[in-house]
Amino acid sequence: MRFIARMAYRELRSSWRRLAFFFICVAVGVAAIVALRSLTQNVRVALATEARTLLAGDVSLRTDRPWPDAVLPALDRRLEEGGPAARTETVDIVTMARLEKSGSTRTKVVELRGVQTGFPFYGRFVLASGRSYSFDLLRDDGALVAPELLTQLGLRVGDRLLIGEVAFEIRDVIVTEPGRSLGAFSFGPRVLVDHAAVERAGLLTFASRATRQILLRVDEAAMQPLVEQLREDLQDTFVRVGSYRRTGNRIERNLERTESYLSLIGFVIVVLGGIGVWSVTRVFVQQRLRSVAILKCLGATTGRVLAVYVAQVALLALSGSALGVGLAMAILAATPASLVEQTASAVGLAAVSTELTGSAIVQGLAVGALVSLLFALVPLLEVRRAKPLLLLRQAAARPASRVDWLTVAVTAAAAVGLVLVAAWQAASLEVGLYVVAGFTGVTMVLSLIGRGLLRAIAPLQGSSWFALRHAVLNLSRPGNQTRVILLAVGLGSFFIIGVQATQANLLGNFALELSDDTPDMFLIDIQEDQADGVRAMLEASTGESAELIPVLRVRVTALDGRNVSFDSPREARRAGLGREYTVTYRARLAENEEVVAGRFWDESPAATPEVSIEEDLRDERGIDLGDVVTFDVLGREISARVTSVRKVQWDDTRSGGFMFLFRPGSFGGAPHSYVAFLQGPGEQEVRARLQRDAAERYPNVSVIDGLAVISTGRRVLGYVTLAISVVGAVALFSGALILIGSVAMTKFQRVHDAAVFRVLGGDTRMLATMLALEYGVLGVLAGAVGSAGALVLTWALARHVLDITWFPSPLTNVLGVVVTAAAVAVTGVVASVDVLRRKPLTTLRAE
Amino acid sequence: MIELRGVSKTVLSGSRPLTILQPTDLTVASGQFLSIVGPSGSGKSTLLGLIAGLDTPSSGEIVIDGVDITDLDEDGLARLRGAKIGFVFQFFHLIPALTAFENVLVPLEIAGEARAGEKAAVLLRDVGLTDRGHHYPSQLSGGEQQRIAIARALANDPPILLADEPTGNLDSANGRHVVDLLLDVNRSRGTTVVMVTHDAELTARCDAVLTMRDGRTTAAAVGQP
Amino acid sequence: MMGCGMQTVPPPNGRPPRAFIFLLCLTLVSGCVPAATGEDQPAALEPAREPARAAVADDGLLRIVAFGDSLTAGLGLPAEDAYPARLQERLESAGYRARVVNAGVSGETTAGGLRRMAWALEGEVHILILALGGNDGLRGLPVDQMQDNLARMIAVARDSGAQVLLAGMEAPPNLGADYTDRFRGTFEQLAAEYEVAYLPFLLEGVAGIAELNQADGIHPNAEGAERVAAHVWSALEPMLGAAQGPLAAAARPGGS
Repeated sequence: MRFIARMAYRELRSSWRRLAFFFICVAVGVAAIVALRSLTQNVRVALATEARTLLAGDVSLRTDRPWPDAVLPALDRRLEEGGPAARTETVDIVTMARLEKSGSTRTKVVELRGVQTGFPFYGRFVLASGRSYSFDLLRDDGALVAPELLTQLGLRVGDRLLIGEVAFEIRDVIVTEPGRSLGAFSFGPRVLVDHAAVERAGLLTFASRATRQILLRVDEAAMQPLVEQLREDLQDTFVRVGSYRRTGNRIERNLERTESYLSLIGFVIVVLGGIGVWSVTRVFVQQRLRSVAILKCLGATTGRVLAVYVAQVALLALSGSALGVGLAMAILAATPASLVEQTASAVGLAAVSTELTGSAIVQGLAVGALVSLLFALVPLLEVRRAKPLLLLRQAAARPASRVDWLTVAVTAAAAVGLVLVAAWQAASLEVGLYVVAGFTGVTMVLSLIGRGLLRAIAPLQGSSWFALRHAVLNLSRPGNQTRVILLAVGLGSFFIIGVQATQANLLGNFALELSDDTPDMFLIDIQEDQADGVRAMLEASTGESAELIPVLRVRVTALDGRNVSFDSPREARRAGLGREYTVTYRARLAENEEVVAGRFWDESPAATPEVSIEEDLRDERGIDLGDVVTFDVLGREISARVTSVRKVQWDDTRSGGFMFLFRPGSFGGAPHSYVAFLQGPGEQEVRARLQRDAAERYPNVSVIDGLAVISTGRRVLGYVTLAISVVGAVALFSGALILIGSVAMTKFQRVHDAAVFRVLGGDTRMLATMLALEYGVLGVLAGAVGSAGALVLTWALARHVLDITWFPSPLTNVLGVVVTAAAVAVTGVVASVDVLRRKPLTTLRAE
Repeated sequence: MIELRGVSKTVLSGSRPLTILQPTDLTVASGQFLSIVGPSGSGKSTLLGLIAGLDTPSSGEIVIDGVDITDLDEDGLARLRGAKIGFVFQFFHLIPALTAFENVLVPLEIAGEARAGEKAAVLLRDVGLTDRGHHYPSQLSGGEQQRIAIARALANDPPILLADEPTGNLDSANGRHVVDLLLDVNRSRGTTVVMVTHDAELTARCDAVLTMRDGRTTAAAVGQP
Repeated sequence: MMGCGMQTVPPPNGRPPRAFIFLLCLTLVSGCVPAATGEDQPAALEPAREPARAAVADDGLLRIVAFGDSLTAGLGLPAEDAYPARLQERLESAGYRARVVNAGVSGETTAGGLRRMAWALEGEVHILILALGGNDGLRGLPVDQMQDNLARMIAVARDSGAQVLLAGMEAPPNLGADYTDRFRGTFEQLAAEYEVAYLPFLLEGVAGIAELNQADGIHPNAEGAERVAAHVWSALEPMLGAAQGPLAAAARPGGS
């Protein structure tokens, strides 16, 4: 033991400079992991906060009917078992508010919510008066209302509002309210009253359309089991049991995607660090083979020698991890803490701490040490092959490369270890498996390519250009670095490009969903004779041209097609085409559409009915180009020929989407209404006025306001986007650092050759050209393979883990290859600058 | 002390087998100083490597101090070397990462010697390099490095010392100094020494000389025991 | 869901968001006959003195148009389970040679119905079952406007020579008694004023009964639709029985 410890110490004492890179790899990796973990934890807390605020509780039981008899006893029973919990009840109804003044017929549809004293468990109300919310404001027929109600009905705080049988006194105005996820879209301004008053107003009788909700606040640990139990208890009722984690809305989904992505990054950085560790350990061991042989010659067994080097690696890994933790602290200290704080305070919670947690530190140390060892172990096994005979004969012939079962076993163990670390770090076996599968695939391709490359460039050895000839010779000489650089750079670029492309995909999807021009106001039921008036009104209010979309509802009754044919609604249903379709007609494609087959019509009206189908109808339902589909349009049949197939980008919420799109003129004079999606006026006052005008002039037109939901979503995605960008930049930076280092490490094996060339009269320029060619070829190949692998990885992640629409980002991929090649070539040359400058004899003697 | 019976070594040169050591019998008595001479490629170093257990014979058996090493595995050979064989190389082969003193210390520590430090100091003094102990190999001259190597080879007081052209990389003054050291070791400690050399002058000072050519031992002149 | 409600299907890999379902009920499609529905058409509003008798088409079929919203269209049901299809079957099994056209459009309000009335009446229509107003009620649209729209529709239908069967609706009680009372009164008032056949509540005995409705609590399931058909039949049959001349001939094919 003493020998091992002392040898390890002595070796480190002299070789720490060369191992500094090992150290840096570990430190960067660990710093990234720890910082990321803290960031992720904070983001998670913030997201959970946001999600809780959206629900105003942890668990919700919700029903559109009166509570079934079974529910309340079941709930009581479960809560008794489950430990401390608080509960409160809410009821939501759409109702009619009118002025108290006698004779006034002015009414307004409002969203009435009745709450009890406990509401809300999370989040807080912001009131226009600035005072803090308390239930007392609702006692004795008090009401809090959304500002637009005042504008629309011409009321002021203190006035009375008749709802049902009760005259409520308006006590304050709601600026922000928690628990808004319910009924996402607003069909009217919010009015908040005492739960008991809703009943007193006579609004909760038989057949009333009311959504009743019980909110619970429970311990985090008890939540999931409770939800599952309640779901089981209530599965035969119409009660939906949900938690803040699973509200099923899109924000929730995006938060999940973000968490998956962050986990992925954490793992990728670990692997990148591992590649660096692998590369440096390999070089290190190569340089130590003679020392190993000497030790063996002096009587040290292989096991002890191995122990000496494992001890060094372990020591470096631990101290590197410690430095990493230090770095992480520095990073976190420098990160704008406001990122998280802002969100937290916006929803009324105390700011989330950005300090490192003890668990994050311990985890960082453990992961750093573990991954370093895993990646260092395989190259360290080379120590076993170092024979003392090497000391007698310079070119001690290596034993013929038999399959070394120990290496295979250790490699397999390391892979398993890696997957376990992945599962731990990424907290998702799925993400880990995809990444490890990609890792394996790219490794194999790179190995094959390496072999193929050597064969392919063999003819170039006859080139008359000295630099090229020797670059080629270098690539294929015995003990060459081709495979190593290909692997390190290929894998590295695979991960870096993969992460960047995934990020682009994710952010692209977010942007589509919540771009600045996402519609936040929807008008439905605009009649044809009202269209011009509505359009003019909207344009006057928003200052932008408003597009009205004609909509009709049709059913498929017959199909005369190449693949499928039928001629009754019953068969249509069997073919999966039985439902009512909302369709439209227009002369142009929308922004989120592209034609994938056939030709889209021009602006002229149809001579005979024509329809364009969404590609799902072709792929899933078998409708094809040239088929004739017969539709029931308002009781009449219209047969239209399919002349094109479109792909609709459904996540792009700006343009909506239609399964069937008709050529103008196809419907003859079939009557229809219009809908409009637009960005309503930003100013609250103008917005309210627009809604009031619309209601007055076009009473049948309903204006649905999505602003509250969309702005919440936009806020969440805003900081999620920021977090992802920051994290992506960290991954890019640390990955590039590690890769450049890995390449630079290979110079140690070039030193000798370079010196010999100098002795033989090669000038610096020739040597530099040779190195640039050699490294450049490797860089291009590795970058190309990595880039191609990244394409596949991104696709798989988008499709299967993140559940987003995948689109290729060719720029990222091409740029990835170019930058990789350039970086590798430059690094190769620059790293060898000292060799090029040094007197050749110094180099040779040091060898 | 050293006994070789029908030991040969055949290696693959390309795809053809090449015998670099023809079957050889050799016995070196305890306390003997044997030198092996011959031109380059005659199989001298191969023979020495086989004795040290650095290489395995293609046929025959090798007995060192009563132990048949032919069937020992890599680790068994290492232990045997640690206990019984000291080795001095033409290119010194000090561990560059360690100081001179530490290089001497290593075999003692491998053997688990309790008073390694003291012993190493004595050894350094014996080779006359006490004041150079804290220098790294790269800071020492060739002669100094080889003396350190000899001190290292002697650390565990092995019954056998093998030297592969120990003076081949030294000027004549230093070479003589090194040979003096080896002779002194042989005389004062009774260590069996086998030395491969080109230097005809050195052979005269040995007990016995083995001449090799083309993988065969051609002549053995045995002097006084 | 924070996107628009226009997606006629959810994203291929997503599931339909709740608000989407809600919008389905409300998303409007309605007709428009611009020239015929201007503000300046008071003539159509005047009650006809003599209720028009249904006439028989050339093919001898009795043509009935079920005009309405999702309750008529049969939202969530296969077309053959919607109430007009069930009604058709009843007519046939009672021996009538009739064709019931389903002219229901989900989400339609009276405003939309008014504008597509002419389209639905094109050709020979003997009986129009007018069952609109449910969406006006769900959305709390002004009652007087609904009344106006219904009145015009009755007038247009009668002008075209069709008999009208007006089916009443109820507004959900959560809108408050003030609104629901006025809402209910509208249908009674119209029926009396225009002397049309009248069914006080289309969903009588179906609304509010969980077993007869789909999960949304609004739309009847197949069994509920069957009940609606029976209910409508109870008001429709007397109209056929009262029919004279050609209608009776059509009604009893084979002259038996």
